[in-house]
Amino acid sequence: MKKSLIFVFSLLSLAACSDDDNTAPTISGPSTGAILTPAVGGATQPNQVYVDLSGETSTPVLRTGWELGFYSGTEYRVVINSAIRMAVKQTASTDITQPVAIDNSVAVGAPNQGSGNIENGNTAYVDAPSGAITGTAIAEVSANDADNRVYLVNLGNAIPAEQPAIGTINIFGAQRGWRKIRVLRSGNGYKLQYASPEATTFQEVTIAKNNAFNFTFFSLTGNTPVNVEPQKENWDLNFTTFTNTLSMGPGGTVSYFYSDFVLTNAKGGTRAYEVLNSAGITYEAFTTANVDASKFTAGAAADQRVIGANWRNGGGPTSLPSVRDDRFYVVKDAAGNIYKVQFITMVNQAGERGNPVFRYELLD
Amino acid sequence: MQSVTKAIYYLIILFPALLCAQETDTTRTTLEEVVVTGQIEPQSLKKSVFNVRVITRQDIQQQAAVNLADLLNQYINITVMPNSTNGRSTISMFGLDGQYMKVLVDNVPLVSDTGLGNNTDLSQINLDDVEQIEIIEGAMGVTHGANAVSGILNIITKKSSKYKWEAFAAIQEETAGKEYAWFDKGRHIQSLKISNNINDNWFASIGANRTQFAGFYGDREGKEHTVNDGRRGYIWLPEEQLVTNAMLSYKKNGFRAFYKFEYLTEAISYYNFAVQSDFIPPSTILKFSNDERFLTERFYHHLNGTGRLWNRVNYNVSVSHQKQERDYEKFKYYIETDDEVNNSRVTNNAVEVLYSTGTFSNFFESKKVNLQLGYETVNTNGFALVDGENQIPVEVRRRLENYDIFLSGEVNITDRFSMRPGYRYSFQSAFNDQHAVSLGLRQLLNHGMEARASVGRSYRTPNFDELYSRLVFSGHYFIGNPSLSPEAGLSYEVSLKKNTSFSAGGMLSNSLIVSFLDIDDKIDMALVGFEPSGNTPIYQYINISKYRMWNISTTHQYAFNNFNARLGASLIGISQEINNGSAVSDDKFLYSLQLNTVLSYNLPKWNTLFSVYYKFNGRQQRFYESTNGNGDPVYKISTLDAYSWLDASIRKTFFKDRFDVTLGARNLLDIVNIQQTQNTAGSAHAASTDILLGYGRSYFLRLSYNFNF
Repeated sequence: MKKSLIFVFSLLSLAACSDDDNTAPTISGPSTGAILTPAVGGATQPNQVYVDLSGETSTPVLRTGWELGFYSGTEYRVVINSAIRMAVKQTASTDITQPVAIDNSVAVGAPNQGSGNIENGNTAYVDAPSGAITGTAIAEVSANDADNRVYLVNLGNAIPAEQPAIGTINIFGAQRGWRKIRVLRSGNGYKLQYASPEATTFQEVTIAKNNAFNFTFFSLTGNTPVNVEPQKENWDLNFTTFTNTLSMGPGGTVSYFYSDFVLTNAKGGTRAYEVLNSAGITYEAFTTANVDASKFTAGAAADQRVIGANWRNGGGPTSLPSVRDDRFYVVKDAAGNIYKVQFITMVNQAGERGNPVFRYELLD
Repeated sequence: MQSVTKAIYYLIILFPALLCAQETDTTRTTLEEVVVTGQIEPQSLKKSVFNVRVITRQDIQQQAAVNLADLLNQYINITVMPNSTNGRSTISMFGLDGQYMKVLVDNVPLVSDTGLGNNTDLSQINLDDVEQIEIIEGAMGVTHGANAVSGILNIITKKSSKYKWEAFAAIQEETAGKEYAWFDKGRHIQSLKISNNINDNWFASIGANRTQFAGFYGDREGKEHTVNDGRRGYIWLPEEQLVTNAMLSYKKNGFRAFYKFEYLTEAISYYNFAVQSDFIPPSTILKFSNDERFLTERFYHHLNGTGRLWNRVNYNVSVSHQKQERDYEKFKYYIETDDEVNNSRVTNNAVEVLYSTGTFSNFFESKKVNLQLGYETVNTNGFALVDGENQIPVEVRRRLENYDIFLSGEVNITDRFSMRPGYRYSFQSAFNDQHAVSLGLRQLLNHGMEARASVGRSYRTPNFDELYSRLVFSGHYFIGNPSLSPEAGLSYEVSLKKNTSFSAGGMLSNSLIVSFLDIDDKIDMALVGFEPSGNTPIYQYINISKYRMWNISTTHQYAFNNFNARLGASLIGISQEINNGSAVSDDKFLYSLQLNTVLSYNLPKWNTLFSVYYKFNGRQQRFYESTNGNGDPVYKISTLDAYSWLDASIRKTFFKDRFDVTLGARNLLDIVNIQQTQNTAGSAHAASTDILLGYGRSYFLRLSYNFNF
C-alpha cells in the first residue's frame, strides 16, 4: 500500500514536471495588475504595441509592416494604416488599368517649414480617428462592382533612421511612395486589386474575413497578407503613432500626425473613461465602489481615443512633454474585467522618448 | 488723447500754487540739501545748475525699502518692471529701458550682468548702506560717459559716523500677499553693521545683509509638489541674496581717501511646473523635475581719494575693479528625496571692469569761473552666451575699452546767473569715437524762483546681443551686427522752481519741468535682405529707428510743523518710428500719465511717523510688430492698463531713538496682474494678456536697533 502510494506521488510529480516544461503555468483568472513597459522602441517610435491587461502581455509590431486592414465584422470596410501617415483619395474611375496622376495634396497635414502654417490635411483622405468603421476614407465596398472606384494611395512615411536629440522625437521619415487600389467583394470576403499609379496592369488577391480578429491585414509593399493585431479578445490598448484630426479654429479641421498615442480596442469591446484627481479621487484611492458603470455605455467610451494623447502634455518651445499623472483611466475589457490604469513616464532614465511605462490594477 | 486732457487738467489744478504762493518773507532757502552728482564741488541743491532729485535716508526708512526696486516704485518718470520668470527688476525712464539709464554708486558706475552702469537689476542693489540717492534726468554724457541718455541715478553711501562705535542690527519680516511663514513663505531680511572711528584719521565699517524670498505661490504648490497637474513651482521665483561690505577711510588735513568693498551673491531658483517620473524596474517610481537656478556673484572694489594739489587744485580720483557673473545651472531634482543629480552649470554673462575716473578743479582763484577737467577710462572684458546658429548658444568674449577726457566749467556771470558748458571726447576701441556735449543755465529770480535750462548730447553703446548674436535655423535668420554705431540722444530741458517760506512756519516748494529727448539712430532688428540660396529673409540689428519723447512734470512739496506732503504729476509723450525694414510704425505721440503723492505726519509726543505713498501709473501704449490680414508686417498698438501702488507705514522709535519699529503695508490696492490688450487693427476682436506685476497686498514689520557709544 505504502509503495503504491509513493508510486502515485511520483507519477503526479512527473506529470507536474512535464507540464512545467511544455507550457506556461496556467493562470487562473485575469491578471490582478502589473507595471508594463510597452516596447514602442525609442524616439523614432518604430513599433505599435498591443497590450492585453488581463493576460499581462504586450506585443510589438513594426508599424510599417502593413497598409490595409480588411474589416471582419458585418460591414465590408477597409482601413488604412494610421500609424504611418497614409492618405487615400477616390478617383472617378473604376478601371484600375488606367494610370492615376499623383496628387501631392493627398497627405496628412504638416506645418510648412517656412511659414509654420499647416499644409494639406484634408480629413476626407484619412479614416475617422474615432475608429468608427463607418468613417473610413475608402467607401464601403459595394456588392455591385461597378460602384467600387479606384483609389490613389499615399503610402505614408518610413520610420526615420536618425535618432533625434534627447527628449524629442522623430517619427516620420522619407515618403514611402504611391499605389492605386480597387477593392471588390469576393463571396464573404474581399478581392483587392493594386498596382503602381502609372501601371496599366495590376495584381489581385482575395482576402477572407476572420471573425477572431478585428481585421485581416495586407502589405502592399510586401505583396502579402500579414499578422498585425492579436485576436480581438486578446488586446485592450495599442501604443502607436496616430493620424488624428486637429481643429484649426475658423480654418476648419485638418488631419495631423501624433506621437505617443494610446488607442483602446473599441471594436473588440474594450471600453474606458478618464478620472481626474480634481474630481476628488486619486489612483491609489480608487476602488470598485468608485466605478461608474454608466460611463462604459456612454458613446464617448466607444471612441478609441479615450486615452489618446490625453495622458501626456505636448510640451512647448521651452518645456519637454511630460506624463499627466493627475489623472488615470478605468478600462473594462471584452471579458468584463475592470482595471484602473495610470501612466508613469514616456521616457527612459536617459530621457529618451518612446519608452512608456504604465501601471494597472484589477478592480474586483 | 484722453490722458493728455486729464494731465493738463491736473497741471492746471496743481500749478497755480507755484504762481500765487508769494505772501512771504521771500527767498530764504528752504531745502539746504547738499548734492554731489554732476557737481564740480558738492553744493546745495539751489546752486546746482542741473535739476537733482534727492531721495533721502528718511524716505528709504519710511518705505522700509530693502533694495532699489522697492524704493523706485513710488517716483514719477520712473517705472520699475519686475520679471517673474527671471527675478530681475529693471528700470525704465521716459519709456526707455535700463540700457539708457546709468546707475552709479559713489559716482562710479556699477557693474551689471551685461555692462557697466546700465541694464542694472535693481533688486541687486541693497539700501542698507545708503545715505541718499540723487537722480538727474536727461543727457549726462559729459560728466558720466556712455549710456547716460535718459538720466543717471547716483547712490551715495555712508562714509562716516559721529560715534566711536556704532552697531546696527535689523530684521524685517514681510508677507508675500497673504502668504507668510517663518521659512517657507514671505520675505525675510536680516542685516548687521558695525563701524568704528579708530582714531582721528581712520574709520572702518563692516556690514552684511541677507534677504530671503520664499517665492510667491499663488495657486501653485511649491517645489515639493509631486503631481504633474501644472501646479508645481512658484509664480514669483524664490530668491536668496547675501551682501557683505567693508569700508576703510582715512582723512588727514585736506586729504580724504576711502576703500570700499562689496560682495554679493544671489541665487534665484526656478522650479519646473512639470513633474516627471523615473521608472526603475521592477517597481520603483521616483518623481523628479528638471529645475534650474540662476546664480549671480558680484565683486566691487572702489578706492577714492580727494584732496588738493599745490594748495590750489582740487582733485577727486576713483579707481575701481568690479566683476559680475551670472551662471545658469540646471539639474534633475528628485522631489521626494530632495536629491539633485546631473547638475550642469554654465556662465551666461560675465563682465569684468577696470575703471578709473578723476576730476580736477579750482585751477585759479575766481569766484566767477570754476573749471573742471576730468578723465574716465573703462576697460570692460565681457563674456556672453548669445544665440548662435541652430539655436546652439555661442560664447562671445570681447574687450571693450574707452578713454575719455572731459572739460566742464561753471561760470557765475552774476550772483544769480550761472552757466555750465561741458564737452567730452571718448576714444573707443570697438566703435567710432564718441562725444558728448552739454550746456546748462541757471537763473535765480525774485520770490524764491529758480529757472533752469539745459541741453545735452549723450550716447548709448550697443550690447552683446545687438553686436554678436546669430539666431539662424530653418527659415529663421536673425543676426547681430558688429559694425553698429552707438545711438546718440539729444535732450533738452527747461524748468522753473519756487521755494516759499510762510511766516507761519510752512515751507512750500514747487517745480515745473518740460523736457524733450530725441534719438535718431535707435537700434532695431530690421529686414536687410534675403539669403542668396533661398527666400529666407535676413534680419539684422541696424541703426534705423527714431525715438522722440517729451515730458511735462510738476512736483510740489509742503512742510508745516510735523506735516509733510508731496505731490507730483508727469505726462510723457513718446513718438517712435520703429522700422523693421518692411514696415514702419506710425510716429504719432502716445501719452501716459503718472501721479504720485506722499503724505507724512510726525507725532512727536509718541515718536511716531505716519506715512502714505501713492503712485498712479496711467495707461501705457506702444507699438508692436504684427501682421495684417494678408500676412504683411505692420505695427499695431498694445495697451497696458493703468494701475496704482499704495503703500503706508507707521514708524515709531523707542529708547532715545535706539530702537525703531516700522509696521507697514505695500500694494494696498492688491495689484497682481494688469491687462495688456493688443488692438487688432481692422478687426473687431482684441487679444489681451495678463502681465504679472506684483503679488497683492502685503505687510511688513521691521525692527532695528542702533547701539552707539
